[in-house]
Amino acid sequence: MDPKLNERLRALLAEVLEVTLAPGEVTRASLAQWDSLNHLRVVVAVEEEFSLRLEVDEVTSIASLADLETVVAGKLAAAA
Amino acid sequence: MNLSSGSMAGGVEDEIASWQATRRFLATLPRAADLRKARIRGGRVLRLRCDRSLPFEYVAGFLDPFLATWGARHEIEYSGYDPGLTGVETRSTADLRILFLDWRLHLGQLSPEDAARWARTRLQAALRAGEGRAPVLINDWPDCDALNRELRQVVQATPGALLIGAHAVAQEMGTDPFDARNDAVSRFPFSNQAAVALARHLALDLFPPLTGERIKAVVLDLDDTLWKGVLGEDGAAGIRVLPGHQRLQEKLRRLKERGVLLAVCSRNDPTDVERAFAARSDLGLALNDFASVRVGWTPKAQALGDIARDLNIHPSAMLFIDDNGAELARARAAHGGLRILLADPEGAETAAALGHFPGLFPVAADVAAALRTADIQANREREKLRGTAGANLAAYLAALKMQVEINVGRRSDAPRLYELSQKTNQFNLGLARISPAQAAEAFGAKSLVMTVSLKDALSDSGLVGAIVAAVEGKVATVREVVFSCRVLGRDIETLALWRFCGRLAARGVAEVRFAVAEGPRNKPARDWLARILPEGTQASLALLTARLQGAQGHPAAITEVVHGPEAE
Repeated sequence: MDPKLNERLRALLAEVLEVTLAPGEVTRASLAQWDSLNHLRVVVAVEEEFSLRLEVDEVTSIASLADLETVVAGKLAAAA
Repeated sequence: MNLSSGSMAGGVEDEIASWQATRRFLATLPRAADLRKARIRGGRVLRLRCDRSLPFEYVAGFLDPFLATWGARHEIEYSGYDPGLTGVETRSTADLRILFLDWRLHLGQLSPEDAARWARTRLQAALRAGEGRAPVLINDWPDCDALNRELRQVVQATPGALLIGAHAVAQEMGTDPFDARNDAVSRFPFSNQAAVALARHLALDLFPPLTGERIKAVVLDLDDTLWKGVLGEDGAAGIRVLPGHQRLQEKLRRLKERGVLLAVCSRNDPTDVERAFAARSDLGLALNDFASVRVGWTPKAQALGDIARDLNIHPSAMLFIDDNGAELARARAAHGGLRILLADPEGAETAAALGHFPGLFPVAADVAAALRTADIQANREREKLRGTAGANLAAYLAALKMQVEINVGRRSDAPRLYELSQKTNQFNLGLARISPAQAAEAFGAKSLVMTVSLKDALSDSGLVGAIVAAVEGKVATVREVVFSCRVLGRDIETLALWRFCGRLAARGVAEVRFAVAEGPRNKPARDWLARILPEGTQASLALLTARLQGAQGHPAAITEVVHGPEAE
């Protein structure tokens, strides 16, 4: 994985959720602000940032920053 | 990004760049990503309460960048998700209440007529919970013509209720407002751009007029604003009316039809301007569409003051549009609160920005709209008559051949009473600023409402004033004395109060108390009452009537009609 992608997604997540993220893995279960309401906000922000579109199953599969990174990396690779 | 105040540390060039950005922001629907990055702090707080069966949060997240254009931001309290909207009965001190409904949940079970009838009960409950002061907004639904038609009727028949035009917003976007992915993920059926467009509709169209931010007059420069080119150099034949200018002029014409006054403030030769309007058939406006025309070599900041006096409004109720940033800066420095818009010399962006300029959206039909421009133009003739009469006020009043129509308890005047309460500043004694619901309630059995219409030899001014009192036993508390500034100087308000005393006497009232509030601009009303009752704000009806005896000699022809129970 591109370490810069992780950094960009981490920064975006922190910006949308208005939180300071501790180093390491971030999961929806461990972060109260990443609730179902804000999940769509995160998805929309990611879509705008990377000019891509996530489908329903992709959105619902994301339970952590790592998942998000996997989905976005896959989309970017497919588009390349 | 504030249209009326604030200054940039970087000087006029930075200010101009900021005004260009603001114009573009108003003229085009911003991207969600751009709004997300905006951080808004400070400003007047609008308190909202949202009862919903849809997640309004996606819309609310985009409100503040739009609100910031008129110096506001929002705080919001939410109900739980409840298709039945039982939470609307919760008392709230919110400034505005929003009912945000997923109409798909209802239309499967109810006909559009029944759904709208149910909406009426929820609106009425929300209005009661807001004690009639907080307007209640309810959304319609894109591409649901039958429901939307029914909802419009319900809202029109419910004072204090307003429609959030989701259908109109979707039509203006021109793209599909729905997003099945968002719906599946979060039960939010709209696209991100539709969420932005709804936020813009709320924050720029609906909220400003509901919270006192109203623009009464649009003042325009001419060269490179209303047309392309410089009249003094290019001549009437040389100036160009581009498609953008045609759209702008059409938009201005529609604003005028809705009651917004138009004025011209231009550094030009007056004869050149008259010739240009006469010669150019492609101009969508005639010179007499403008209630005030100030053309000449007077500095514009000074001319704007003259226009404010012509129109008898405060400069803070005016929007000044000019292509010259330095002129805008000087105008704003001279007139606190003046709204400004940097004109696009091609016209197109100016026209588009006016479409969502805060304070210009018509939230309610303007009852007096058709009469206003002609009445203000007639005021110039009145000034000439006044000058001719010299110190003889009676001769001036007689020369006007005034006809005053007084109506007592006419319920159909409630919308105009609301307008007068909200819009008048100089002659507004109590500054009660009543809501539409309160205006309707004022016609109840424990109140006395008198409305006053005026015509004279020069124009029909329409319904120009009202007096409202709560009557309890032998005591009347006068809560509203409101008169349009267009009719001041003709002693109509004194005449009306004298007649009002007659009605109070018929109700057995012995004592009259006036609710008086001190506002920044209502000194004329307070001084008027102080001249009648120098000893205070309450008096016996007998004393008050005696002080008003002089009104008997007023030369106006008066008709008085009593409606409803008062007539019996």
